[in-house]
Amino acid sequence: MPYPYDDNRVFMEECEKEGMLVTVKKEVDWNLEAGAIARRLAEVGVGRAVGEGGTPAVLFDKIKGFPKGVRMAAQMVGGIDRIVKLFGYKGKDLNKAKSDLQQVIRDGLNNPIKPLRLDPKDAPCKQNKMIGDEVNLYKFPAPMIHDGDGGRYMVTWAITATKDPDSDWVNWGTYRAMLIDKKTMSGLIVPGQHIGKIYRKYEERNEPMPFATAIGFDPITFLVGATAIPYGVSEAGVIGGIRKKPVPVVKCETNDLEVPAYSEIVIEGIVPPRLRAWEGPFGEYTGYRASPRDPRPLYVVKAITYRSDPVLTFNCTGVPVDETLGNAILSCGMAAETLERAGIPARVWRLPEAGACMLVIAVKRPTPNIATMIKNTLTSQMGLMALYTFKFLIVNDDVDIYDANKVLWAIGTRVHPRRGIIISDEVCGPLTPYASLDERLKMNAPHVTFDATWPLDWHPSIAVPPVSSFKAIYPEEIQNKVLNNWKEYGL
Amino acid sequence: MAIYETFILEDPGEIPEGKECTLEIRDTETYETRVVKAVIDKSSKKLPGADLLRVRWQRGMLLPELWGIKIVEEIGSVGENLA
Repeated sequence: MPYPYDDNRVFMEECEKEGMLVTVKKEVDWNLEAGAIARRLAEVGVGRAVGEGGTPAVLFDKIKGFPKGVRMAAQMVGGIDRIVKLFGYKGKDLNKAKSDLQQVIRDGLNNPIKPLRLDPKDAPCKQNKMIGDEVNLYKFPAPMIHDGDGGRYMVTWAITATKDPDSDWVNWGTYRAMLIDKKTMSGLIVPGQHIGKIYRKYEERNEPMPFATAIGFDPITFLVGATAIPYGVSEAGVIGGIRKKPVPVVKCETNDLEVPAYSEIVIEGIVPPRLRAWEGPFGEYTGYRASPRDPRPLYVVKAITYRSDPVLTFNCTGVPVDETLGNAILSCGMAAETLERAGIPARVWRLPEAGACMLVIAVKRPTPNIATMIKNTLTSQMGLMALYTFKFLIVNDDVDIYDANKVLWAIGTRVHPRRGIIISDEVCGPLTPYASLDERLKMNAPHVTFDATWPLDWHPSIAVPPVSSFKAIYPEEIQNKVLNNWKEYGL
Repeated sequence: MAIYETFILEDPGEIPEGKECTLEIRDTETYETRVVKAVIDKSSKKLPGADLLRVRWQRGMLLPELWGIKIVEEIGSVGENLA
């Protein structure tokens, strides 16, 4: 089946034929072993293509304590080779794909296509059902991903659908949740996230919030679900816009929400108002298990539907490099779109690229206070957690933001210690590692913006130091002469 | 002899020793969580016939000592009356 993939199973089969996925036939334990394998895959080679030292996606075919056919999968989009395949990218330069593919989220946002509702009999996720008293989350190999996690995190590589009670907006987002017992989960719902804003409306009305969590659909849906698109915009339409084809969905059994029809598992239920259960901790994308165990909203499960021989996809987050390269591409594309809409054209990337730490923004036309303006625009429109960043670095457009060495060079040589380091108090998420416990609980901690742009009152020919590089400091005829004679030099 | 786990937020003294208290525990086979009334002691030898209790800090780190837990009453699962 050609791009775009409706069915993750087809994507996995094609990846396996091309050497980008390995099926592990040996029995694997859901209790730490599967997570440890996924973690090691990330640390050995995530981000790179399999042929260039990268590691494959993995499908666990035999899970301890579960019947034949029940499976798990991880690192689905951990390599640039799988990402370009997923988006149907035809270019040969895989590094260039990281900047080129940022356009897809912008295209999807500006040209949404509404989802296509299927008849339930045509939806693979409806092949099996557990309703009411039959519900048992332990029928699936929800993994204990890291030792010491607060519970078995079944919801990591997934989206949870919730509907704004005041409009037609349906949010699909990636929000972690762990099992408490066979019919309940608890999950991290941060007030500033879209689900947090929607949930607050239900709590104000003292009404339960219907939810539907889908696991194991096509990876484009996962990547968009994990990207902060504007408040009030439904992810399903953006996904359709990216695919240039509607995403097939099906209505839930116990509520009116729609989920991807090719999902492996769909968990439906309600989040009651003002009820909390202990949740966390969890080893997160920051590379730490920073958020402490805390009372968090409760998901009460009313129904589960699933495909036969279900594949439970999970995400073993941790120390960079992580399975977030695809997320980096879409998040940075969204950040670039946000800045352009604010009249600030810029290129955006993130370092470490398959992780989260610092957002690097190369601005084309700096203006006074450009660093603060960029940071404020992004945090107000997208939110810090959604940006997956704790630091902002603003550079001039001559810096190669995809080259970590050049970025470090810019920090070391262009950030003035007094005027180039801007500290501000921001809304921080509970996952912020350097924040004190009190700061994390109150969700308010300092953040820093590094301004590495040359001062605007420095004359570009007199005061701004010329860069001593092959392209910048040699006349063009000398550059051409050297390049044309390179082989003759024997080099 | 079963092994259970529980979490403490800041201080091992949160769980009173030698007297009945209510706490949330999870078994170490399925990690299903339930609420129990139990008597806890930092030394499992002081509670004859007790099961073992592993205690974790709020960010998951394990205390090195194995405590003892004698379950007096099962109160139920967190979601028992909700679903």
